[in-house]
Amino acid sequence: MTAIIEFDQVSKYYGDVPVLKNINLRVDEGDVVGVIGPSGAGKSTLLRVVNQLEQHQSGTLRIAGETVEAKAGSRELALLRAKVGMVFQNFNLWPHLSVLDNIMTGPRCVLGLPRQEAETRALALLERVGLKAFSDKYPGQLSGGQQQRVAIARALAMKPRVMLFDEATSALDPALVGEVLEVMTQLALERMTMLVVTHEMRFARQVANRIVFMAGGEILEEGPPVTFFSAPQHPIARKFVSKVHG
Amino acid sequence: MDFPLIWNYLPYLLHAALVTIGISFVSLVMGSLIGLAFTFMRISRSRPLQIFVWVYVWLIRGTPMLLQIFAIYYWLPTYGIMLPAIVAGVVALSLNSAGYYVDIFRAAITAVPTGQIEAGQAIGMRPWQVMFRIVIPLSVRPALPPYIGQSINLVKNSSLVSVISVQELMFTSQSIYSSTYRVAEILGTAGLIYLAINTVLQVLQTWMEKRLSYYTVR
Repeated sequence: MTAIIEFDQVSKYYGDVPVLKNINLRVDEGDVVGVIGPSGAGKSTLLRVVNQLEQHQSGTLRIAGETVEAKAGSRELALLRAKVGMVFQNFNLWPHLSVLDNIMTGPRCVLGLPRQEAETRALALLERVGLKAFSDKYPGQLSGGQQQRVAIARALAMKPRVMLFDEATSALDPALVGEVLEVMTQLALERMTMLVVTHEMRFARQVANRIVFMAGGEILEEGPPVTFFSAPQHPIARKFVSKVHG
Repeated sequence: MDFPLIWNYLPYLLHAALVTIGISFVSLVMGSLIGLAFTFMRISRSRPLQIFVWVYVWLIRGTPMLLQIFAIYYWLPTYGIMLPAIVAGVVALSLNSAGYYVDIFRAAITAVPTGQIEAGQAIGMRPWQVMFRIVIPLSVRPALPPYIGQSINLVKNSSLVSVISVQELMFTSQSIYSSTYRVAEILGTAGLIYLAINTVLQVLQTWMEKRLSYYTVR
């Protein structure tokens, strides 16, 4: 198994307040890891450290075998981020660019692909997320669910080694959650490596092959979904699972 | 109203209006470029650059434009820099408007939502790519109304360079009415010409705002 993400005793503080405490986590190629836990647990921060939108202060982080220096220059950072796709809670599509240009921007200006090739790749991805007919539209003309599917296509266009999902369905109308989860499930079936912060317990249970439970900046428990959801060990995890199951 | 008199002097006024338009246009372009460069310095990480621009904006906004014109035309020569009146006028207008453009550009740039920038970073774009492909394009629309507003001020301020005898619209009007004594007719006409020039800018703003409203739902 090739490790794609390795956290080794990684910690992060906001001033004196610890937000990540001695995180140890390994995500292998093809893994789908569901990160769950109460708000303020540090789940999003964990994800944002992976592509260094937030910097860690201690410990070692390796992405695809390469150690990420906490004080990396913009060039090194860009190279790292090109290998890591990220999907945000609020989509963050660029409103001044068409759907097609949103997807093509990465391949064009980061990978340096010629226009034709980038366009072919973008259209194929749009087809995959079921939005080929929307290539000329602008993000503002799309529903939340459609925007998030475009955002997934935008991240995939970089052919990343791993995809990060930061509560990708939390900002959506309940009726639109399904179409996004469907795309994510499809990705998991295609063996994409995924680190998924989510409040969708059903999705975590059915699609993830591993659950990471976080609270207070720590990973309290880790294991296969079946074990975790039926018999959580840590008291806080037990309380959390009983609550989300109503 | 002495309409025949207006008609007689109209060619002179229109010719002077061309000078006003020319001065304003060059100053607008120069001022915008300086303003943009200063904006980058102001938002850079270099403390000395930030302070330099801060002081610049403080001086430009805190002193009368008339004084700035005199400083460039009468004070610079003591340091051996002698500029022809029209050049001194353009320099004064450019430097003055740049001082106001800086904060207009800076406000628009810093108002771009963080998520938009992070989306660019997350995909592996370099800082300058994020700046030119995302931040600046997204700043254009919010910057437009105050930018055009300041540009309209610039056109009106160009009348101040008449004090160093640049023969633009205001100067020409003054010399006509001081020999004809028809102040109302001449200044009224000049006013209408200023209004017409600024109307063009105003219409440009409306047109661009419409063009840039890429189905904004955010």
